[in-house]
Amino acid sequence: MVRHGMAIDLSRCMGCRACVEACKVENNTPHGVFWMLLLRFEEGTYPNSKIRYISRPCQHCDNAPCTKVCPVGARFKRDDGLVLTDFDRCIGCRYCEVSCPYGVNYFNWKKPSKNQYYDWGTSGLPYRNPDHNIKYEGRLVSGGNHYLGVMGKCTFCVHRLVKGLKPACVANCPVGVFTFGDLDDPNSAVSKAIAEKEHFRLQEELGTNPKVYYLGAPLDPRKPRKPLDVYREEVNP
Amino acid sequence: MRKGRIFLVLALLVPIIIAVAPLTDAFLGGAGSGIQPYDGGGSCHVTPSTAIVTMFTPSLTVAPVESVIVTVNVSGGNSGPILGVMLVSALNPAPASIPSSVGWTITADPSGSGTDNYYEISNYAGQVSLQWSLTAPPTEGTFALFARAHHGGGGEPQFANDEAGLSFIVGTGGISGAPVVSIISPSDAESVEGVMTVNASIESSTPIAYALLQIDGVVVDNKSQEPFRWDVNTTEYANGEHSLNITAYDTNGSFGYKEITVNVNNPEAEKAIPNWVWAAVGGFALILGIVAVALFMRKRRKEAGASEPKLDLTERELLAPLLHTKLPGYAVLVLSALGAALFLAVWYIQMTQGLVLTGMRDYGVPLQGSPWGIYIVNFIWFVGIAHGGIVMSAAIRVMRLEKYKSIARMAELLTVVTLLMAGLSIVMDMGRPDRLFEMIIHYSERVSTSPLVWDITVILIYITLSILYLYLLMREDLAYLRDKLPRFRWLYSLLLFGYRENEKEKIDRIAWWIALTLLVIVFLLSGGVIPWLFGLIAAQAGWFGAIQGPMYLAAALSSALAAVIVMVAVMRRAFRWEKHIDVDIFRGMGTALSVLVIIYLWFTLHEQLTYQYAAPTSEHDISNALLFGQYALFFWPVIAMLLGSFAYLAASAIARKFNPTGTVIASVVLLLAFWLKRFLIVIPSLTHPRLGLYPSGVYFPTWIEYSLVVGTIAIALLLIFLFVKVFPIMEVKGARRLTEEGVGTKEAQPSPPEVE
Repeated sequence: MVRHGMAIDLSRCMGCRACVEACKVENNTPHGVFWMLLLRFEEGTYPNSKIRYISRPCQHCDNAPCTKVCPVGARFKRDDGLVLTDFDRCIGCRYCEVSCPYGVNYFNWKKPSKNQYYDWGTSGLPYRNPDHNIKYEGRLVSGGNHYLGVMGKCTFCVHRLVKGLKPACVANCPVGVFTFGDLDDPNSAVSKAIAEKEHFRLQEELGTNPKVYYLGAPLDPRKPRKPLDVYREEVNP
Repeated sequence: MRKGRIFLVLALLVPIIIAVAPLTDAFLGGAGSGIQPYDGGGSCHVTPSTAIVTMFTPSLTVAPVESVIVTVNVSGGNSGPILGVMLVSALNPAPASIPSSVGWTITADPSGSGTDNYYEISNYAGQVSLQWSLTAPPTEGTFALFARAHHGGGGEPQFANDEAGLSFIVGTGGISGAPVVSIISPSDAESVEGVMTVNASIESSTPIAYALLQIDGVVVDNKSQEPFRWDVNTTEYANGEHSLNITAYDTNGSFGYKEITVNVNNPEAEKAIPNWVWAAVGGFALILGIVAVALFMRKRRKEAGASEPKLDLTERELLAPLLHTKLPGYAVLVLSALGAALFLAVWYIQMTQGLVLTGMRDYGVPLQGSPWGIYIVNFIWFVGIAHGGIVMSAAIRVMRLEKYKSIARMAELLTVVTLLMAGLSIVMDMGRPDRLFEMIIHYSERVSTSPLVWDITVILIYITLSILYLYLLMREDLAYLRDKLPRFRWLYSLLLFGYRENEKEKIDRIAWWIALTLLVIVFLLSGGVIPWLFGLIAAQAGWFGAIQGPMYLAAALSSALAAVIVMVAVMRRAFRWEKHIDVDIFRGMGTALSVLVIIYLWFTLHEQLTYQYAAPTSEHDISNALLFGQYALFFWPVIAMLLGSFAYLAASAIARKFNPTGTVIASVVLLLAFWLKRFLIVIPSLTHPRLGLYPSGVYFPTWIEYSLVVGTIAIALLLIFLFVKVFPIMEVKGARRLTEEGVGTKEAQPSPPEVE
């Protein structure tokens, strides 16, 4: 059985947000929802500071706290390692979001009323990739936040994986930041990438055992970090 | 000389004739005909080599002999008096370049009167738009049309073309071997309303890969297998014409499509009546109904009044709420009913428009909110009161605290009502409460790990036990009052099914065991699953840890005691039960409350000190936000309220004189303080993410949330009021026994064993 995992090479990332854009187009997520998110921040204090970028998909933890707390089993882990949400079963209690240390869950606070990023017309329904209507392994788990009152999050593009494609963020990165593949196979590209470079995972100390590996020096918890947006607001309020 | 003069006149005349002649039709097309091949034309005077010719038609897919409108736009080229434009079927020099040669029939040319393919404009001003109407060729296939602005005068003909032209597909799909789509319903230009069923049949020699349904160019759905049938809700589209296109792709990549127009014609939606009107009408109707019922019952009671004097004086006092309702009672009824109506209206608004109306948002980037809000705060608060209430009652029964027995049923009632409200608080927090049954379906699979399932289990156990307990212990009074209160005889008889005269002893034994069970499990439940809902979540800093259990237990018992004090005081005052509810009861409960509050404060000190002293940064941040940051404005007043109440209660426990009013005020303050303290537990942790990459968030409840929280309190009041007006809240039979045993005065009663 494969165990899908991802390696993100921080030294290559230039912060262009192509991964974010690709995710929005592929999964048709509405306003304010970023299943793939790029955090751009300044680390350290001037003059000993530098700008860093870190992309944050769902970490697809092997020991996922969200699957543990879900009262109905709508959040579950598949045998291939994907942590998915069953939109047909979710009751919208948001306990998974509360229990997630990575903040990757995005609730459907309202029904999307307009097209996002992929505007094929001004009238009619918001565009929805028809692949998301298909049930994978018998459950409605794929695609955008189009169901009012339920939770959604990154699916590692489960609808693309069945076609043998890589997730949209991986496929669209112009500088090859992402490596995606089977973590259990030592010869897979992702396993090799992890083996070759220094790597870390986010908040490993919580024991969630995430399957997203960041290649590069670990984040020093003592260094102050400030999102670039904050500076933009300061300079140009 | 004469010859020369004639020559001069002629020489002058020629240019004049040349200049005037184009205004007439005599020189049309240079050949005098409106039907011209591609290279035809003679004397138009615009030099069109720099002109831009474009063509437009609404649809390129047409049926044989369908009428087609082609618009030709010409712009640019040096302006001049005459411009000739022609519509041809080929740009190559071929005799078949006249449209009629390949099957087109021109039904109207730009002049409106003729059927020519060539048209001249007399005064070309640099831009023009011309329109031809044609009938498509009768045979299927691909047919092209081109437009050409032409200047045939002089030596070298000049022209400008729309090189691309228009390539019409006449027939069903065009490309041979491609799938052929035919739309069975709706038919072209059909008027549709409501749910439109789109039914298509697709014929193809190779298997169909998928078929797309597009409306107005927007993909609505795709299907990869039969039946190619869609139900489209037309109310989501504006009234008027919409194009509907079904395109089928086969596995070779060839495609065929069929496009029709449908005319959406839904009846105009009635002008929406604002929600507040409904709320107002509903609330008004509810109040009218309640008042009508109250008046009716009042009349009934007056009629039955003659048959009720069987009660003696003590009983009349104890049953005061059942016998008459005064003006404040009606005020409470109307206000709480209004609150309940508000709850229903606002909940309806929230459910239809989504939780976006609340102040809750996802934590982290970009929304920077708090995924849980005051609904959860309300839940913890109500659950705390509920758990404590039943424990008080159980303690009174198990330890036989006879002095407190008069308030036992009030504590039980409080438990049942607040438990219901706690459940309601969870339900109104959910995005999809209609799927609550999923929790039952998947119970066995989820109960091993999900604290929320433990919570539901606990609430169900508690509500079952407390309703059972309340009901069993009330049976004796119901049986006693069945004959004395004819008004409620039918209800009491219904509830007394299987009643036997000698059941008292057995019921007492059952109730004692239920009480003992409740006493034992409260530590696991109120001090267990509710704090575990938070204390087990490592993701949120400030929740994880072992102190949560004891803290929640102390908070639950304190707020329950405070709520019972307030409830007992209100009823004692409203129904003049000063004689039956001893002031000492308040003193005893106040003393217990002061102990619990100081224990709670002590736990808070432990918690905050740990966070401040040597903790991971995230815990430290939250503690700082509480003590010195954005929440300090709440935190310190809450601490002051707790400390002040403790000081007052402790002082009045030792003081010689005792005034219950102060105890009641302190209890109200404590109820408020504990609600706010729960807010300070839930919100700061959620707005300060442990992952340092996220900025901290903010949370401001909206009026929707405040309305629903106020609504739950109003519903609780309404339920308590209705219960009190229907069932005896004071123990009648028990009080009678006491009065009969004693001499009738309080001082002479045998002193019950004091525990406090």
